Amino acid sequence: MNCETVEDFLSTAQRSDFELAPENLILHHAKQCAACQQSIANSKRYLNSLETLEEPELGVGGAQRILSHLNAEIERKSHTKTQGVTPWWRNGFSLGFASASFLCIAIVMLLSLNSAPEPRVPVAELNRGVHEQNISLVIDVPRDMNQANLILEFPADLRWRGLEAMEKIEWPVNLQKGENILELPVRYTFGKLPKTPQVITASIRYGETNRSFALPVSLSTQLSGRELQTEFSL
Amino acid sequence: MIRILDILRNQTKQQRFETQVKPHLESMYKQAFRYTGNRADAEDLIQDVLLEAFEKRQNLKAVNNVGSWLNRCLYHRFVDRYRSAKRVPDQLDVHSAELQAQLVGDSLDESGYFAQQLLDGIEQLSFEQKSAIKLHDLCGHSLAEVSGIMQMPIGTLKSHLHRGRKQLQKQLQLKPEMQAYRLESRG
Repeated sequence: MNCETVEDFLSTAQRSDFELAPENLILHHAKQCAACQQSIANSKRYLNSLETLEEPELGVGGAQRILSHLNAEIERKSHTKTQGVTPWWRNGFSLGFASASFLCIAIVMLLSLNSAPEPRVPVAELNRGVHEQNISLVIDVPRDMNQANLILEFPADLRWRGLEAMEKIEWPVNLQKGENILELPVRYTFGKLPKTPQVITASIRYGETNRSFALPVSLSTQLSGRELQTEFSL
Repeated sequence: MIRILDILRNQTKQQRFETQVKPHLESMYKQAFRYTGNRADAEDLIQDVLLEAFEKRQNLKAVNNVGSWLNRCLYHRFVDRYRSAKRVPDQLDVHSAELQAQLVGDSLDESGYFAQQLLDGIEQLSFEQKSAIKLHDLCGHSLAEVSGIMQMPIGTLKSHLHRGRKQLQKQLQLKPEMQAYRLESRG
């Protein structure tokens, strides 16, 4: 058992494989290899995160619905096939209908040429005063820091999108030497956009070391698309 | 009289077809849901595939494993839809993160948030990587089954799966996990 074998095993492993696999061999190797320990932990974390996804179920009702729609569609198609198809231009009603439609379209086009174009409301303006932005938080660390704690504190009206009820969030992270990028979608929810930058406080706790950084965020009036990159390093 | 006979003949064909496909609907639905991300589109995709399968039911007689044949048809139909949707760049994708955020608003609860985070990450992968991950990791198909569905050699598939997982793990690396964080509510 070597790192390559572990990597190969992990590349396609499913949750059940960890119970059935020659775990003793993998664990035996991992005990002596920190990199493999980390890979196994990452893999397990990824597979566990799949648990958060909703398991879709069709059920009897859903199956029945699909089959009855299917039958209706088959009926409709076979009905169209069996009917003797007369070209529409030989059908008096169709011909009359087509002429009337053509006349209507011509009138509508003439009217629309004479009236001023209606202002189109961009999708962004339909939003109910919610402003969103994606921020890339770049954390530069001099060495690997496993089980460091990252803490983010948000100002009054600015929140992490999806976790709006939380003003402070703290969670363990494994930081790797160099740049670590956290994509942070934020949402500003109340009133008008502030003119001064909003400040998010980010702290990293690693062993005895604890450092905090103030991250000023200038909110644009655009909903998204504009990315702000904020860097800090230890 | 001929018309009545026609209707009866059609009904028998439909019933026979229904009996063949019914046991596979649940598995098809799970797969379609993973492709499309919502129930309505998943049902719509299945309907499309079944209608086509009914029209080609003569071919179905020669098929040994109807379930995997249907799964393969489902995948190919999804690829067709994906490609034609890509050809219409001005169309606003109803599943886009931007629009979903506006529609979902504050109703997203925390577990929904973590699931969404993962799904967003999967959607950022290449088409082959996300298909491999959806079929293998989310639907639980074996490598051999996924290889049959995607009509791709196992070696290539493993490489897509490996790269996709790596990229996804990288994307999720710094994000908070459920039950592994401490939060403080406002007020």
